[in-house]
Amino acid sequence: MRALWLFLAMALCAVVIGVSAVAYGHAYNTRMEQARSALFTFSDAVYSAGDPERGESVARAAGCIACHTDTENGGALLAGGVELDSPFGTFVSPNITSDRFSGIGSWTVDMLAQALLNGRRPDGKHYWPAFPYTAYAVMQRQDIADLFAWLQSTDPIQEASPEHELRIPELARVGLGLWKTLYVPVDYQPDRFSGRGEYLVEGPAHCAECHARRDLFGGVADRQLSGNSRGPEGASVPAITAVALRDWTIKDLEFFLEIGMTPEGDFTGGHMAAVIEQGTAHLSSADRQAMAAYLKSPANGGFE
Amino acid sequence: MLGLLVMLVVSQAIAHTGASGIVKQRMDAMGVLGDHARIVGDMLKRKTAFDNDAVEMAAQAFIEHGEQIPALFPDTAASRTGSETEALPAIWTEWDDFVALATRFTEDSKALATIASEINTGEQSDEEKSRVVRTAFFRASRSCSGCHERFRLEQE
Repeated sequence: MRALWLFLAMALCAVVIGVSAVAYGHAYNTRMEQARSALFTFSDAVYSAGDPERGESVARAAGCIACHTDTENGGALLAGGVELDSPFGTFVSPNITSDRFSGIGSWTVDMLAQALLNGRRPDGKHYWPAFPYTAYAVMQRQDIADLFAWLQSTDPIQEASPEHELRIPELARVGLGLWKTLYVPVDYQPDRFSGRGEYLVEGPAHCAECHARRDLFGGVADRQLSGNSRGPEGASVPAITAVALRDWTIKDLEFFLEIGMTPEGDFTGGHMAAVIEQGTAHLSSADRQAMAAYLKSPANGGFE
Repeated sequence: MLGLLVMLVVSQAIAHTGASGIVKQRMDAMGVLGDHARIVGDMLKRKTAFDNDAVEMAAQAFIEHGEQIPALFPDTAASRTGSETEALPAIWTEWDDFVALATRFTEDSKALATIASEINTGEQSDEEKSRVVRTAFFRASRSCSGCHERFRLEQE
């Protein structure tokens, strides 16, 4: 009899904790999304003001092409199919071409803003954070409007997105509401940066996703760019704090972001090669210079 | 010039001490390439003065190496799994792609050599010469990262 009471009490506790956690996650997400709500009244005015040419540069900085184009296998621009191995299984990037059925051609700019800033799909579900919305959460309105204009101008490719092959159940997606409370800032602060370089590095370019350590729950809690011994694909990713880069000049970094060559004359491979080739190589030299200058500044973690 | 040679010899001597045989041979070859790339890169970054002779030497080294690449990666046990090797098995499972990258590198390096010898006799300013070399060097170098991206083990 005592055992039964004990069991019931424990079961009740578990239910209370579970419900509270979900409620807490829900409340947090509501607050977070309200903080960005100004964006979701994006009217047609902003939509039509989007500049596709600038938008391509946003896409390059944000790594959209490197992740959503299967260059190695000759895949079409933004048609998806790139695999990303992680401890949670293999994520496969979806088609984000302007195709209305396979891609995101039927999206509004608000839906894109929801995805980037809040990590929410148009159907209201949470994205798996393989899509780096914890970094995109600070993206500026104009960048999103421009990116939207460019995405909509790309060739529509009718090619269904492949499924992820995950080791965690689909049901775990619900728990992402709680996960976001740890990693997505509640306030929308796109102007909190010292300048363009810091904004690009911390925001769209999402350097911390690979160059910072992940914690127990698979998120980047401490955004210091002090490297990650267990990066994507099991490779070790170097530290890129100002101290770690002490032997690099700003010019060296700019050159690296343009063609992938280190000061010693070696050429990078792995994911970084794609980040450069599909991304930073196409940025304006002013943007590369800004990123390099920020990485070398004391603001970028003076300690190792 | 002498400084350059000393640098090449020294960097070969200290690099890749744990490797031997074919692995050491190709790592040393890559090291030489890196030295040349660094010298040209430093010019383009304006760390050093523009020096067309050094560009021509680099282009010659790139061409020779590009032609050697397939032979430096034989499909043998020592080549596949030798100590210290960073060569990925994809080299041998996707051999045609691997060779195509090496060929493209050789061709792009020949174009760099042609440009370097053309401007050697031309009357452009160093500034202008540097600009044409930059374009040709970037073109040749895309095969370096392109190849490392798929075929080299990345480690810190």
